[in-house]
Amino acid sequence: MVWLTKTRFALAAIVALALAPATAHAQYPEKPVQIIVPFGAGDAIDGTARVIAQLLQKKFGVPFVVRNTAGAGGSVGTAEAARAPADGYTLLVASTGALTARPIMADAGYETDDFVALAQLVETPIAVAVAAGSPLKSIEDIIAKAKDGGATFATPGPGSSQHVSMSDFAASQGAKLTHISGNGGKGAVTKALSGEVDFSFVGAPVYASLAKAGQIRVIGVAADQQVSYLPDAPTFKDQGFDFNASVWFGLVARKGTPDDVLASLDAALKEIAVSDELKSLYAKYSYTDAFLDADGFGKVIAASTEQNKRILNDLGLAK
Amino acid sequence: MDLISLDTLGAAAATLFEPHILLWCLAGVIAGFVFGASPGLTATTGVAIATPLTFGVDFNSAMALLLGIYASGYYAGSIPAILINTPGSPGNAATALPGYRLAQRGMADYAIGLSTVGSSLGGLLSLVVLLFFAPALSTFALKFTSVEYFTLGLFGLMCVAAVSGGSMIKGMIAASFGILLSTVGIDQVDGTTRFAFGFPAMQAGIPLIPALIAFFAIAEILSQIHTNTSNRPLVAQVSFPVAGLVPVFLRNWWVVIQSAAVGTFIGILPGTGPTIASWIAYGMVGKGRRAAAGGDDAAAEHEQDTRHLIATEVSNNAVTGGALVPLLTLGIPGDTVTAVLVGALLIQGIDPGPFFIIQNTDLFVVILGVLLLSAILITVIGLSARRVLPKILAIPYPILTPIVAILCITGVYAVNSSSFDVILAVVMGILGFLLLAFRFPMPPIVIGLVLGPIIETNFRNGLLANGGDISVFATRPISGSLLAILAIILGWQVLRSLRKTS
Repeated sequence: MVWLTKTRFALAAIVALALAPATAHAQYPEKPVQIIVPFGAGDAIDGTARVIAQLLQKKFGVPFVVRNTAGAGGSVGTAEAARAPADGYTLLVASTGALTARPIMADAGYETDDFVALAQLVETPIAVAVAAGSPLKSIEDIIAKAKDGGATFATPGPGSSQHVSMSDFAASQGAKLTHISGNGGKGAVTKALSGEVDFSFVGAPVYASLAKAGQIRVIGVAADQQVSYLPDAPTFKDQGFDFNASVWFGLVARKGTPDDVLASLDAALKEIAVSDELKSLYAKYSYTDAFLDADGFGKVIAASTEQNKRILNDLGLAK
Repeated sequence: MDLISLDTLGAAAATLFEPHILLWCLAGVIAGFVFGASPGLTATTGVAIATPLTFGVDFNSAMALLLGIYASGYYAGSIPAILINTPGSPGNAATALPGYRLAQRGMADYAIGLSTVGSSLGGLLSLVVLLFFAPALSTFALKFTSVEYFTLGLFGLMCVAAVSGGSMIKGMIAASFGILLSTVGIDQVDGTTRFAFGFPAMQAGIPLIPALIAFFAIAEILSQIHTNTSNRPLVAQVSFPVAGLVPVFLRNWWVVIQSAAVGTFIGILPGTGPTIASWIAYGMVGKGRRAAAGGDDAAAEHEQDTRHLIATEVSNNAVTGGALVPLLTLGIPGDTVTAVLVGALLIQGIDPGPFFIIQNTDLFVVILGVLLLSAILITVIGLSARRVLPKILAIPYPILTPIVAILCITGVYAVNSSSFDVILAVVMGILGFLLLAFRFPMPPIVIGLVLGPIIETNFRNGLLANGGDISVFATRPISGSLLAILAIILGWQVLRSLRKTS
């Protein structure tokens, strides 16, 4: 029984810590702030969070602690953030899929509008790639193959923005694709490289070194312009298709967070956005800065939610 | 073995053995020791936390720190596994079986010695593979599609036979239970939520580390309380001379080679890691000559535990060199730690990929050198700490057990900072205790939990990618061969047991 008592004590202590009361704030922040990253340590989203946490900590003089709560494509950490008190002491780095697609697909334990936007941080275009030896040379080829006997593609996971947006594109061309989860971006590229699937559809930077080595051919970037790190890769637009798709990360807070708290975070983030420090840190990690303030990011979230609602309903993936 | 590496590394040795590199590597090995040995914290967490620290330092120092954590983190989890039956990391779960048995017979010193030397040997052998065969093996990972992963997963399930103890049927039931547990959460193939029972946290599935701690440690603690171990006298621990380890390894040289090959091979395959490697290596040692010896004699059991411990520790450290092969040749990480290392390399301005070894041969040699250095430091630190660590077992049970319990609970919490995981682990621990009372073995549950998703998602993905054609599992060469081997082993076992009963 010694053990049970001890366990209960440990549990009580943990619960007490988790539920630490939100005291009335004199001047935000007066205690450490935690930033929940709904993915494991080491992912690009984690790196982004750590860069921002470091700069916010410098700005405010209290610790901004990054906490990784991974699982279920970001849903677990996002649900955790949705349950935290709306006092500005728990922030979330939201990702496209977890924030705007998952609540439409299932009871995720949160809704998109449980959160208010603070700032978009990074945005990455998504691109189509095939193995170097593949007979597919263009988006046209892929559509033709899909119509004639079917084509397969890999993305980081079911319900990811990559999966959803590509399925939508295929449907708009009157084709249907079979989706295979790569269980992460690198896994999806591996499936394209090994020839298990016809093509992969993941964030463009993932391809950079393999494309340079000629092991993989990027045949369509879903953006208005070519990207610098993939000089030979044409865009969808170049090939006559009006199709853009990207993934983004951004900082959000619980809905109901006091206005003055939101305002001081907003001011700090705007200041950080134009700092040289952010630029140099992003450059080190090869992140593409895509800062948007609270209003801009709010619009991105709303647009993404609308789009996902429509597509997921069409695909029969909505709950 | 290390002579070959030393020879080749001659040129880089000058820079490598500079005092500050040695210090960075030492710091890494010590940090890895702490992360590996603490239940709930792993080498992956350690490398992720240390990565931002490498912002301001040069490539050599950064690699010395991070690879030190990597190698030593995979090893150090064996220490709590041996001493208190609580694997410090999932990769050391298989070590807990023979290790804890040895410690309970007063051989903790010997067991830690085996684990230390075994880990270093595993690391070194995989280093040799990385050094000589990395370019040749670069495309090997690409031969594995979902079809091959599925058959490999089936092959892995074979090791259930080796860890089932008395009853094979109970082992199979336990493994099925583990596979059932692995179906909880969002399905990787089509995104459906399964068996979450309305808990948002369950969408992530049953997390491995909390399950491991529950089924190994918490279940064990509860049964210790149940059998009232407080009255049990402490086992006197015997010390074992380092020189005595040499003949043990010489005698079991084949186990070392075989396990290093398994570890390196599993390491090369993305999406796998030390956990799977160590169970397969354990299974491949099999039940060996225990039955052949005819007696239930303690010496045979001791020898068997020795072989199993060598197998698990050699193989899980051999994963390190293997996992670096796809990372440095394709930019695709072979396990979770190398996935984090990608970020660390980017900080240094290096995008790991097909050009890495060609364009940065010097850096490649540094990586090899640092791994070699880590293996040496692990041996030195492990063998010197070996005398002190078993002292933990001199603590009376009424004091030790609650401490272990607290360690377990904080470990479970540390994985994902989730109080839900703590509740889940306690529930699973109680369940494990009940199963233990009915003599169901625990390891097959964990094996089922690890291999379940590999078997299920790859089976479904394999069918999806091949238009529902089930014959691909037999017609693709690697998959077909694995299935054939599996069929031969199973057929032989059935035949043997039939002959025995008749």
